[in-house]
Amino acid sequence: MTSRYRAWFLGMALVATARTPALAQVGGGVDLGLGAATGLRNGMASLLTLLPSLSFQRKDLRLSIDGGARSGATAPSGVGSLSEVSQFVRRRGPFLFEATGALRTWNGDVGSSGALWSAGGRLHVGGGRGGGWLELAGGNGQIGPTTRWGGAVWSRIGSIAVQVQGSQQTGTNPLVPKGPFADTLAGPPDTLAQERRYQRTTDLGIWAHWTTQAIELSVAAGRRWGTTGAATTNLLTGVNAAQQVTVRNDWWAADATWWFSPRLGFNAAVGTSPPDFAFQIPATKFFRFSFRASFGRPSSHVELREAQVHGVQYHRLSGDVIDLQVCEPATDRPRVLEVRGDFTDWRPVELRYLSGCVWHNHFVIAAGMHSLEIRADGGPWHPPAGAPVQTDEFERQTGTVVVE
Amino acid sequence: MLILLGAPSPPLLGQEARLAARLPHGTAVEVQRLVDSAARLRLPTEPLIQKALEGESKGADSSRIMVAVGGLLARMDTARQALGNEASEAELVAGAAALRAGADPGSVHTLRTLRPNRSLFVPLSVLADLLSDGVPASQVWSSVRDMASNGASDAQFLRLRDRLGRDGADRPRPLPPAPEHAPGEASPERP
Repeated sequence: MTSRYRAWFLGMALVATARTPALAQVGGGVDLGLGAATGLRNGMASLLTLLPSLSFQRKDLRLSIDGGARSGATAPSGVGSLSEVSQFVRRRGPFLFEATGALRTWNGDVGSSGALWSAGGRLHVGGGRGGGWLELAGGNGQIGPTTRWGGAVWSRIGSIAVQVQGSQQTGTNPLVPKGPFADTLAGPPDTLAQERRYQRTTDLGIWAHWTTQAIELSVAAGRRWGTTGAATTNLLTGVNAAQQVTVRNDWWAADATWWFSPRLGFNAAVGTSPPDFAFQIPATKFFRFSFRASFGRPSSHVELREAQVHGVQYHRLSGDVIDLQVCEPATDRPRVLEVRGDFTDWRPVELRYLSGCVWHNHFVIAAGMHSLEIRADGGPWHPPAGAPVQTDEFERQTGTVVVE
Repeated sequence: MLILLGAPSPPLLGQEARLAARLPHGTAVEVQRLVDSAARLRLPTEPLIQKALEGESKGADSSRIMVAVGGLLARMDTARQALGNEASEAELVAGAAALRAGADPGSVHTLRTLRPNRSLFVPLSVLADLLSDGVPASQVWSSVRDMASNGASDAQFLRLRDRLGRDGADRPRPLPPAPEHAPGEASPERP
């Protein structure tokens, strides 16, 4: 194991063992896979991948760290990471603002090693069955200062979630003097021109995800345009010149996971990955088989099954004190989930996020049949997913739970 | 006396504070009268208060709240006639829900006779849920009656609800979070 691998694993271990107040809301997973890929040398090569991920969520703050190590005989090898932090500001009406920060690193035997950071914001609109967002961010990368903008629309069509997304990131380096000789103070100007290089990556893609019981399927396809250009200004003549080269890459991917236990799954993936122009990593074709382990946050199929069968879960803590658990399956995890019912005097009470789609809180609830509703981020009230539903006297759908 | 004209009418003696705080005064007074009627009939009063608060929370107008509370009072009274004077609050609430969902009082009474010494609120809740779910009444009733005849446990009744209810495509299903990054973009090391 090289020193860079050791340092990376040490860092991940420190994060994994860190004691924080949010430890109960830590989720994570490890994906260990074997596969093959064609790399820049046009040979199919065996590929070993290790993809750990960790996430923290506490109220309106979300932090996720994805790491990865990839080793192959002739395929691009290296380690990289993506760390993201989001702070959500509760929505006003249908809007939700998300302040974002991201840091990407790559250290490998191909491409250019380095880091790219960005900070910005994302404005979400909608919720429940569909919505969209717009984002704007700035930062600094390999070539220089970067700007990024993008947007997406998403929708749930039955049990399928679909998202169409577009984005563009541009990096521009500072002015670079160009001339036959190094500039000196003596004599005529040696710098004949100034050049500004830029690098632009434009993405357009569609993504669909379907989950049923223990199976997760996703397919995605897109197109990436990479543009490299230079604008040159001749200092003697004042003439501007520009040159630009654009390459286009189509990519697709299909991914299936079978969770044969709440914590373990088998994953198969195949597709092509687009080139990463920022780090000069070439496009590859790949297939991969891996075992997936999930900790802290059970795989989604567990909650899916429980929610379908039982609707609302509860555990009696003592006497009539109940730990009530509901599943909120919104495509975008809400920042705030509230419940109201005949055990809250029909006043909203915030639930605390537990894991997966499950939120909970403690209530005093006597044995019997009870009515309840939930709402996400101040949206409309609705019955919890999977709960029996009755039409109340006010022409509304209300969920029920039977507490024994 | 003239001074009192136009002033709010005084609350009824022992008026429930939650009603006074949440409902328009006139509505609170009328609901309180129904609550007092329930108390005189020795019927549970808390479900009536909750129904009124539910209506207020859902933005219902006063007349609709009154109809809802009055209807619940009437159904609880009918349920008690079917279940007997010893019926618990939970049984009366579940019985009223079953009646509202379409069960007839005779069926509720039959359940009492089939299960005389055990609580009925779970079977009645299952009956109410399945009828509300649109499961054919004949199928629901035959299943619930047979299980009660055979001494089924509460857990078995709940499993019946899970089996017969619309656990399939009609109910909302959890979905994973939507992606916010295109695959391949998330991190450079991923294939």
